[in-house]
Amino acid sequence: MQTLPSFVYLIPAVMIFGPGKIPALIATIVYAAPPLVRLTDLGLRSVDPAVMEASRAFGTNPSQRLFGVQIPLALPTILAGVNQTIMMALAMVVIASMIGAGGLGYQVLQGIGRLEVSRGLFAGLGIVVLAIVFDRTTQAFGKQLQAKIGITEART
Amino acid sequence: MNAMTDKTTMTDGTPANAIEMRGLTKIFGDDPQSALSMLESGRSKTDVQAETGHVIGLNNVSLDVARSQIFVVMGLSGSGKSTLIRHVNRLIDPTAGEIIVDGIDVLKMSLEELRAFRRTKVAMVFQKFGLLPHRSVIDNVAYGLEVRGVGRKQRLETAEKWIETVGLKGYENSRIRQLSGGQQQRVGLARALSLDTDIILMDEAFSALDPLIRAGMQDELIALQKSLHKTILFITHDFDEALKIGDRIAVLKDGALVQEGKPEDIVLRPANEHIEEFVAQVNKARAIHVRSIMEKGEHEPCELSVDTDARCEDVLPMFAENQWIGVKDRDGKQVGRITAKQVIKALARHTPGVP
Repeated sequence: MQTLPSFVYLIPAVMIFGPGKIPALIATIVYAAPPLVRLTDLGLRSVDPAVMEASRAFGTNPSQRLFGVQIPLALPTILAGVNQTIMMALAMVVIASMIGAGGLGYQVLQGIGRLEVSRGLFAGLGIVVLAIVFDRTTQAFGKQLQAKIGITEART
Repeated sequence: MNAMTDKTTMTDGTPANAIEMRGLTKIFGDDPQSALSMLESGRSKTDVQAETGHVIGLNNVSLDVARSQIFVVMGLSGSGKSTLIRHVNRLIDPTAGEIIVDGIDVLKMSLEELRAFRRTKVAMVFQKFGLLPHRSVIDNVAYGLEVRGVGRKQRLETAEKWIETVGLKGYENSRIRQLSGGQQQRVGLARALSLDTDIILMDEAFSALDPLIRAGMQDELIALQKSLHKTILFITHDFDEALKIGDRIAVLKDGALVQEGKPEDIVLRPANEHIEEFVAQVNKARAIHVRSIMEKGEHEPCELSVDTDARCEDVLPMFAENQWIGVKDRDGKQVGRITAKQVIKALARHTPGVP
């Protein structure tokens, strides 16, 4: 998914749904979801095997292990995935506006089209501010969790 | 406490052995069955390993663990002792053989039965503790009960009681990472004890601890066992530890059982050179019980006496003031006596190089 240029996702989306907000949304999801999936998978798999074994020894069933052990311990990694996914979704804003997503991305697109530097710059800065806000909040949340769990000590 | 004594008397109708293993073999690899048939046709372990690339974890191990005793399985790393203990609650499935716990064949259990078995019959303590870092101490101790489905109020009450027993009172709401290694293992121990299972598996439970703390934990385990009477299967690589806490000891080497017996059996009559090497390193005064070398029978009462569990190291300091030390059974009746000379003889006889 990540090896393809992001423009390519627009083609099937537009072919099936026509231009508009829905295909833009779909293309964005397809483009941005992989880090979340990958990091969640990585996080769940890299939970300390000793803890998993202990949990098994106490007679837990798979869902008790998933919700009681794996997800809580993998949460910092999962949140890093959420963070990455949000960043990539924002990267799609301008591209998706080409197929009628509207919003700030469209302002940038118009700015380029009409050579209105101020409009493009202003909308562009808006996207950047949005990205910084999202990034900082999710990262801070992840760090807080990490400190609470003490993941770094637990893995040594 | 009453519930505890009830339980020991209730076991009259059930089989004498808490855990029985018959011909347990575990082979790690892609095709364990073919390696197994080679092994059964009489080929040596090294042959099979070289030819098939399979690793033989356990080779035809049979053991009986009697109720209410501490049974120690001793072996160096790679001897298969950790593999062995994981078969009891089927964290590992054997390639061949059978395991009977409390008269029930563990291998015939369905997945659901196995989970119920793990929740109610066996608790386990791990070398690497296996605690949940995102939970507080009390929630860790209550974890087994939570899995079992015990209500929150009740499980926290039970957990609190055991936290106090293992000496962690005041740490209930601490995070695991704030505790030292010794304290963490106390949490692991409390977590296993809070389940009140008849059988506790301890996989190198004290091996990761500092020597002083380890000795303290050993003493505590012995003290706890005096009131709890659990069946404890204890794994260790430390012969001294095995002698100190074990009622019986089994020695594993390369996945096979080399010798099984009482601590003094192993010290006094090592089965082969491998065990002799261990014995040579060990503090014999700790290994030999006075009851095995005392002068049996009723004698005139001695001024000082020890109980039948006492070892040579316990009586040695007493000889400073007394010539005879009495040995009393549980009811306080004198069953024998011992002199310094007898102890010295017993110790000297088993020192290598001394005829």
